[in-house]
Amino acid sequence: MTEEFKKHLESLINQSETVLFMKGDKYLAKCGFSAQVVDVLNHLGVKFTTFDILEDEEVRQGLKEYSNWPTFPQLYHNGELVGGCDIVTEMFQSGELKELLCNK
Amino acid sequence: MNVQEQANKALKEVFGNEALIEVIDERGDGRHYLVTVASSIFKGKNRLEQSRLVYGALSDLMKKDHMHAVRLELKTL
Repeated sequence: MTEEFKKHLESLINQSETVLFMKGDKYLAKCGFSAQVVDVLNHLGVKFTTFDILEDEEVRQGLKEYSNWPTFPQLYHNGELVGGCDIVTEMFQSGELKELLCNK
Repeated sequence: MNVQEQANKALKEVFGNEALIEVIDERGDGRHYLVTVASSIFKGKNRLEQSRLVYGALSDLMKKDHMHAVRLELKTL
């Protein structure tokens, strides 16, 4: 991966405090797992931006490598990977997600 | 070997025989799997690290899209 492309990924990951890389967008998710994470974030009233990985194959493959994480959705907070659908759901149920995303 | 057997074998190679491993084709479509692993290897690791170990074991099957979606249920023994 080139330094330039790595910087591009980092700028996408840091585009806002909470970023969801998903299939589709928050209004029309094109995958059940992406939809589930959007639902959880909406339920918590979290402000977040999204990136549709179906629209950019280079970012889709690059992010898998950059974060050593093979699947989407991927949720980032303050530039750090929080997890995919399983982890986000589990953290939502335990209350950890609210604490992480809603505490300023 | 079918996908479930291959996944079981790959996970055993990483987690050993004492781990409890189960691979279920949860929608019966040969694409969406529920993978349960209970292992002492998870001790002291966070969820991301634990998941990466499992994804690492299954990477060939996932890359070839033999396993399109994998839901993980991980427990520390």
